[in-house]
Amino acid sequence: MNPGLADWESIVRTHGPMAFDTAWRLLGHVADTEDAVQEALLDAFRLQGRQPVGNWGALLRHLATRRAIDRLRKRRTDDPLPLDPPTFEPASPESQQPDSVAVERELANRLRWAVAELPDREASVFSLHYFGEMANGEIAETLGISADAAGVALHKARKRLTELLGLREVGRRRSRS
Amino acid sequence: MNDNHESLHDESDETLDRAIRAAKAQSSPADVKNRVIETAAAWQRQLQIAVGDQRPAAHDALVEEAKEGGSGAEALAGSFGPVERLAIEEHERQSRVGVSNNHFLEKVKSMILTHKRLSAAAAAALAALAASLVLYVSLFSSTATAYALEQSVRASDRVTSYHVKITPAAEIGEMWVQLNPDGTPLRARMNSQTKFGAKVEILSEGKAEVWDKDRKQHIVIPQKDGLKYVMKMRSIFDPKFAFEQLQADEKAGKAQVELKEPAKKGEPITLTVTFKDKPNRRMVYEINPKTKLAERVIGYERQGEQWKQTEFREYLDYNKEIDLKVFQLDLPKDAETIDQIKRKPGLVKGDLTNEEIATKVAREFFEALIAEDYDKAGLMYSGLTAERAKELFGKTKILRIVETKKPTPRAANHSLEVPVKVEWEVKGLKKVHSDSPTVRTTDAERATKAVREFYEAAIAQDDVRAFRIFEEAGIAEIGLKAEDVKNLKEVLAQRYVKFVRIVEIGKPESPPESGTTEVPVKIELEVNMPKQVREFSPNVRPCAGQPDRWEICGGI
Repeated sequence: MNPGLADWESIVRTHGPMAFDTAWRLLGHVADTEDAVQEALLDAFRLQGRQPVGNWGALLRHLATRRAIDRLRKRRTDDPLPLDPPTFEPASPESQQPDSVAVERELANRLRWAVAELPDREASVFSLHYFGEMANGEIAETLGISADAAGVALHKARKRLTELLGLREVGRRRSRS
Repeated sequence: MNDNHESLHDESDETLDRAIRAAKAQSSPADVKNRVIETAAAWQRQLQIAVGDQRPAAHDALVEEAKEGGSGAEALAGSFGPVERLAIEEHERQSRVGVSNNHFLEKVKSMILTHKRLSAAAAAALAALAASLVLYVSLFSSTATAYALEQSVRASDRVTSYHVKITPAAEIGEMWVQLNPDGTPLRARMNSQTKFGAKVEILSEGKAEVWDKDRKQHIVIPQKDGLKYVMKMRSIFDPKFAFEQLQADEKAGKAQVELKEPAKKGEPITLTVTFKDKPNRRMVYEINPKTKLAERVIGYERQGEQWKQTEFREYLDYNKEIDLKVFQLDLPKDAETIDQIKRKPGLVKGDLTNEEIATKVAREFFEALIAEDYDKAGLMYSGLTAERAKELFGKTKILRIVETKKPTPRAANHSLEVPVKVEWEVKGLKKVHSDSPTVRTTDAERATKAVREFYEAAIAQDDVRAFRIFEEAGIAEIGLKAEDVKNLKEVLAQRYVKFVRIVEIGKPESPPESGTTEVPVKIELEVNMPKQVREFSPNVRPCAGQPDRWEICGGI
């Protein structure tokens, strides 16, 4: 059997599912996830044989994350401009209502929207850490940066996302009142 | 203040973790995942089999496939997905190393057919793409087509006005255009009904007006941008422009045009157009044989193996004088008008850099809010009226600007986003909160009484009574848990609100077989929030039609 052939199949079967899950968590949309993962696998397929890859699992998640972030940004750009009037309304009791599936889904969607707003490195590190379930050291190795830089990017990403979600929270409360 | 800020930060941090958990909690679609994995896993095997086979070419079959794929098959490459592109790349690679192998195309086709989204026709078209390296099929008589196009361009030269209706109204539903002698629009009206709402846009008397029916907002801007928009639309709907463009595309080989003369009197001339860069789209122009003007334009899209109609344009009138009333808006009394010609929005950029003017506009907006100068705040924000600005921004007290950061470009609306941290507080803000508590009874009167008494107790801050009613009546779904109600006063204080009065209790409803009754209720709340710091990101960009002025267009 051709070793290259066996390797590719094995790589895809072993690491593809996690790459898919990573992209899915980022996109939350079936067709977009399918396209992003296909593109990522194609990127990986092209790489195969051209250069040695130490950690296929990490690479596939990285490629899937990149493709997924591109799609998130495109989706955001395609969205209409925010036409709702601005608001300064404060927190109100309804924000403390018991969780529901719809609320959680909305929250996840707002997180995705916010991730698309992040700079490249922060978006990648955040996505790989939380959605790709990779440790900072592994992320650093995959992205070719230092572990410290990965840590800083993760911290910055969290801070920015916290701010973005806080702002959006206000809009949500407003629309529900 | 620090404590408050810290507590807000913790809350937001929790929200982020909750959002992450929520995104991870949605399980991925297993069937799609398996399909993607299995398809990719097979790539290498399939390619190796395909490339390794050296049998002779099935030339005739490819010719048939080329015909089946139809004209413009080569252009289909533009819409190929990853597997198809992979196959093409592999074929090109093999060609470069001298493996001239038409049978490879058969294998490619077979490989591609395993891919989920590619129909047999598209696979055949891919084969045709490769076959087009050696085949040239001339489908059309270029001379007759060119003549027909030339005739239509000349006829369109004499058009002074037109009225066109488009179904479905994807961007514009109906358009009236009156032209200047040089062919540029003198007046235009466009009615649209899209997912962004119903709008009317009018270009007339040196100004452009946009009437947003859903938001009841009427915006007036200098003509320049409106004209640009009409010119853009003109490239789609203006018959002269359309035919000139078609003529140019046909000459440049970007479009293929098939001419069909009318078989009998009264039938139109038809031009069927396919574009290289949009191979899955086809336009059919029905032209009046006498006037040589387009009467109908029908758009089709390839869906699977069939062409489905997606657009229908009908030119209702040519060269008919259009009543001036068509170009005048009949606005309702409660319409909000933002006239950016009379009341110039934003600030003049002058010699400032883009970043400097964006920061200046953002700062002046917040400074105006601090000074409660809503007229100026409204001017900075797209030219809103003072009343509207007060309504939108006057609910909180902005105390000071803590800091502004370096602006960053925001591609979504072509603006610069300026991070601005401000300190603010809320004092005595009244707002009406809608709720629908559920009561464990099917007796509507009893349910209403329980809800009324509960809120009366809550307003009186009588925690004991409120909790007793809550428990005895089985009230739920009010955004408060039993332990909250037990310490109602304390809980509300932590949330910086108090119940003020019952505004309205609506008609109770008992869902079938639920054993409960929902009672819609509106409660007035008073909100008092301590000082806190929050970051906003106003988006600042040049004003429409007045690029020397910059304004806030969103982000707050």
